[in-house]
Amino acid sequence: MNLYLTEKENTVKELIEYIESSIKEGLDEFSFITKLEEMLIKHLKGKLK
Amino acid sequence: MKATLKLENIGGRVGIQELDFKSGVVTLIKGRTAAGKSRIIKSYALALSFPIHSDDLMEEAINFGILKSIDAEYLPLVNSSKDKASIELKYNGIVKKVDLFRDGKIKINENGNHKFLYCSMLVKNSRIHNHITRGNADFKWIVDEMSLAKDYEIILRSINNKLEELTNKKEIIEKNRKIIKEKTGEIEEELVKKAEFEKQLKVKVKQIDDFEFDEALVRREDDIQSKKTSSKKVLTNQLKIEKISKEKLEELAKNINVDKKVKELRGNIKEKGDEANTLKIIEVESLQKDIIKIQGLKSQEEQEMVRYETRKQLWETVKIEEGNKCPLCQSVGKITEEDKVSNIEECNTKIEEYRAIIKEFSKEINEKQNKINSKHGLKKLEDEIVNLVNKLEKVERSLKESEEAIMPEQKKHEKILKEIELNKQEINKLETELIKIQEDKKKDEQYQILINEKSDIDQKVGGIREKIKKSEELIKKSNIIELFKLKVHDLNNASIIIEEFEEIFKEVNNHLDFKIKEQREGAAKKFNKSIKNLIKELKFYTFKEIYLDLEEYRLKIIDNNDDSQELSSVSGGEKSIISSLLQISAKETYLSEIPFLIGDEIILDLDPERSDIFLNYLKKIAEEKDWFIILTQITNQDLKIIEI
Repeated sequence: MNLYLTEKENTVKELIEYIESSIKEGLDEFSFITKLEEMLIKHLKGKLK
Repeated sequence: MKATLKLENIGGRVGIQELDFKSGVVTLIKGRTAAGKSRIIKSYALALSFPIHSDDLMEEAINFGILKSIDAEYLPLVNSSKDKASIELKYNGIVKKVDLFRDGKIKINENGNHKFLYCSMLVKNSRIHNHITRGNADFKWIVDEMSLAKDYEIILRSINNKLEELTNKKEIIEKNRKIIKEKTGEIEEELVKKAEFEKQLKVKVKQIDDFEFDEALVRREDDIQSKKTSSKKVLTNQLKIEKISKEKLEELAKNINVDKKVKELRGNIKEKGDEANTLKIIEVESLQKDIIKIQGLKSQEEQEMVRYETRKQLWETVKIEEGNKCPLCQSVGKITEEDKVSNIEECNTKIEEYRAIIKEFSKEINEKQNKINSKHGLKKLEDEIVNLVNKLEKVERSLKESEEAIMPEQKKHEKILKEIELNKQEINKLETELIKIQEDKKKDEQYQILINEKSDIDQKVGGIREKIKKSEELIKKSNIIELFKLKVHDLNNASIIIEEFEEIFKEVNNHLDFKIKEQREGAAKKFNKSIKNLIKELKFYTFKEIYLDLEEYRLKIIDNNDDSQELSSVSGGEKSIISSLLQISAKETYLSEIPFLIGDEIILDLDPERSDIFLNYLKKIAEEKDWFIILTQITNQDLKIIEI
């Protein structure tokens, strides 16, 4: 986590990094969506704490 | 470089066919229709492109006859008389093996690149060829296929789905808010009604309480009520006494139930006794025999000692006079003082000797006795036995006492139980009488009216409570929203979270839009550059410029008057040239790493002059890039492979 960024900016950064690494490794749509949902749930859990 | 293609049961040919190809040259596969030309190029296409990951390409592979459609019964490349066929392609140290099964299954040892179908197949019915001949200038698909734009688009679609999900959630939140508002209003109204009914109920209850019944009935009720209260009080005391008695009985019963303990103690005593007896019998017996023997010897010595003591006493009493008799033999003679002293001394010496021996025997007896007492804990065992016997006596005494005490206590308990039963019967009787009085009271018409009115109000209040409960439950349920499989228990909080997620997704989408544009532009620019070079190489000056525009990726054709030409207005011959030009450019731009370019009669269908120019260009790139360029040509002869 980058301490100079807001929580929202960090989430955007995390998602973009995940997208770029998924494409670099050869995109698998199903795995991508599964992990994307996991990341969204993690972010949401953080919000609900 | 050499490529060897080994085919088994492919197409119309049964058995193995092995063909060699050379890189750096253009190879022509000549032959009449159905001579097996297509079989060879289709085998190349399958070995170098399988597996296919895109639906569009799957369709193209089916059209090209290398894969089976869902409706088709058999895989077209497998010979109709065989269940299995195979392709083996060896080149540059690479060995690709493909097993084809009649039912459509395909196994490959090393994956190919499905772009091969777009970029390395100069064939009729290819997607590029079909677009051009049908006048369709939309070539966005090719820049998508040949770049990462398609992957970014897939991600964009996923993110947009999530955004749509959030929009739906927002609609649900709005709907739920309306429900909550509506139900809150309903609850408020119901609460007002409830308060009014409760007020009425209070009045009704007071009226019922204050109702004046027949005096005699009321007196009788009071009397019975008083008796009941008194009986209940007595019952409470009786129950207390019964409880104490029961506990005492249980305690006594517990004392009586000591059989096990008695048995255990007896067992212990017997065990210890046996142990002591064994000790006595086996080892002590011999010691005791020794003691008896020593005691015998000791006794003999004692007798001897006594004999000398007596003798000494006799000598001590002797008077030293002439004519005295000897105290031992009674003979008359002269006994001197020396004789007396000497005899007494002799007696003393003997006495001392016997005393020492007796002392020694006593010591020996004591030692043996001590041995008996202490050896193997005999004394300890005997002490334990005494203790156990004492305990047993105590338990048996206690048992006797308990047995004597339990009978009177049992009688006492039975008596109190009987009394309780009688008292309960009395209370029941009084209660029955009270119920009867209540029924008599209810028979009073006015009183009955009041009761009915109260019951009506009760029902109304109950109905309102039920309605409020349901509304509250609905409010509670409506206040929960599920976001990404998690429950959020507050609509306002959920709205804030959704808005933040929307902002996050929008920013991610901006990135994706940028990347898609970047990828498409990059792919199109490379493609355009290749087309431009190729036009120059092929001296195709019919048009000034052919390129994909960078906005919509449509094919633009600019004539020599700088006017834009519609693809649909271009002649058939020109379309064939443009098609070949785009296919070769696609190969050079996007898939130059696979050294194969396979062509059907497409190029050779051009006019002789143009066909020569194309062939010469292909020869040149085959040599320059060390590619295998393999083309088919229809002739009237049998299959023949020649290098040109």
